[in-house]
Amino acid sequence: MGVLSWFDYAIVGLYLVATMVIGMYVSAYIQTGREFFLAGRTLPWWAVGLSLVATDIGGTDLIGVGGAAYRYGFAVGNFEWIGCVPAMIVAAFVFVPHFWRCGITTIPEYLEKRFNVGIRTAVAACWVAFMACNIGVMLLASAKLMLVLAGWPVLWTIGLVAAMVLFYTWSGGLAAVVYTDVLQGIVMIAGCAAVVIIGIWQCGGIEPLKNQVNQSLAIQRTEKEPAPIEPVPLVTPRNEHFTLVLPVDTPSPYPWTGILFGLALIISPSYWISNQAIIQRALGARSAYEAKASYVWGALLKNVIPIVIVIPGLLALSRFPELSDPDQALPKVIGAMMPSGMKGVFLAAFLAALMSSVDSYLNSAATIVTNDFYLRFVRQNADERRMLQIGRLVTIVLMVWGVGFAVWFQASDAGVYAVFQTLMSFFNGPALAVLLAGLLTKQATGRGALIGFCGGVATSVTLYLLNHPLVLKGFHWKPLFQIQDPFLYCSIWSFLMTVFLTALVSYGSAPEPPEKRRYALGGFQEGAAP
Amino acid sequence: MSGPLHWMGTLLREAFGQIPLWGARALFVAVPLVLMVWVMRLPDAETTPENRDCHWSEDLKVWAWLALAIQVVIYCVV
Repeated sequence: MGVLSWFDYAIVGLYLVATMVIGMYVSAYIQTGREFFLAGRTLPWWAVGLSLVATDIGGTDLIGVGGAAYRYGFAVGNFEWIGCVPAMIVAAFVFVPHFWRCGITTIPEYLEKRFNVGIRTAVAACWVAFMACNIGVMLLASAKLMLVLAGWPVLWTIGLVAAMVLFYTWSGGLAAVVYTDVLQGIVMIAGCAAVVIIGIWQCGGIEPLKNQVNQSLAIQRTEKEPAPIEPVPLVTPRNEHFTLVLPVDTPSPYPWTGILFGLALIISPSYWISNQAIIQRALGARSAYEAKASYVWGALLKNVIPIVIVIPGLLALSRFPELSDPDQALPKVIGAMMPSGMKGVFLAAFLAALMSSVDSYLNSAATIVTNDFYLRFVRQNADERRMLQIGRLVTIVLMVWGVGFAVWFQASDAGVYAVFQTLMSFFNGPALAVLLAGLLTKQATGRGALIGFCGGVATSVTLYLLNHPLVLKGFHWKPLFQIQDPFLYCSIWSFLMTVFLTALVSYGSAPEPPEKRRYALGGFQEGAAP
Repeated sequence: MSGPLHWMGTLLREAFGQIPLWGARALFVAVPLVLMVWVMRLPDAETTPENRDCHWSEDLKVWAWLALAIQVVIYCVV
């Protein structure tokens, strides 16, 4: 990205100071466990909506999406468009108000109210394991990028970000997380938008950018393909960089079948309906109406996100067609095209994206540990002050774990990162399936949900193994899937298997009592929490 | 062990490969379109503040409809 000026550092410093001031201001109002975990249910819709969007985009996503756009084009924007907006609208009017009226703090808590403690514990354990390790992975991956972006030592970045996030999350809980997310969301969107506007202006407009991208793709094709000895029939090569809907045989990981059936119908609803880090914000809203409004506001914002995070990747392609590592796309664009001061803005945006995700996962993991393990199994009659103490203690423990995990992971094989991310996404489909079974039907039973969830996770793991190079080589098998990183397809099959097993076992077991069945949608009157 | 799974995968891939790309695009457009109709049919009590009169801009139908309409335009154009 090039050398940073004092002006760049001043902008980054200003952002960090503003974050801490907001965090400290909000923290002064936190006195009880309920305020720590759900902000006392006082959050306004606009803050929750911005926080939803900021949480969804991490620092590694910012760089990764730019890299994916460089390599595959606009199709990566599907993750923010059809992969978010429809699910957010459905969640806004159907699921979020129901959870809010149920008066729950966590999604696993809902699963016990509707089913039993077994499925609550299984889902809670998966989420805590995922979130706790993901804190470390996000810290490490972003610290490595900061080394490339600004030359900051890896351990220095991990320490700085961890200390700052821990301070305001420890003291202010969800309220501090949401209000700092507001600042971080604005910095992130404004910083990336500035990069896009300046970049397109330097290219001479949208059409010249398209032409330059097409020229870059032609250069890439020429380099990949050796000159033919015999004349071959002239076939126009398929250009997929400006198309959202890609064919089934696309070389990219985004065929339309995976995007529509895997992303839009499974992964996206799973994320917006059953992810504790996401739903917890809406549960902290002032009213059911404000909880709905926050999701609708978030959906509106999501419509502009791909423009500000995908186009920088295309700008990089237009200027640097021969990058060996696509993840260098964004840093290259910033270094080559941005004036002094703009590098600082982008660095602040990157740190904002990183911190807004780490603080959310830290707070939500602490919420699950405190509510679904401590309060459920250790001390069921703990008072509000005790809950606050435990929540803060768990926050420290989880951050120490995250930093330790990041340091340990630093010495591991870098390829493990991608495998780890894939493994962690295994339970998304099954978790959504059991949640929908509980919400949409009164016939589903706790036994069916637990067996279905375990079967769904086992299906994901099996499909992953059947596609793993070591297994394929050992048994001389062909790959089961023909696209790279088939996690979208794994989610479809694990979801369907969970639905099938839950229905099968529920059919053969005794129905749940009425006090559990009323937690399904429509089970109680509006405004009257059960 | 993986033979039947390969057979099923190939069958599904070939079946979906028969759907023309304009048909796939129509499905992408249909998702937000169907939701737009659903949103407009929601009862007012589900989309407005509880227990008080509200300005039209507080009706969440308007903004949800707008978010989905942008999706329709995007998937028709890009």
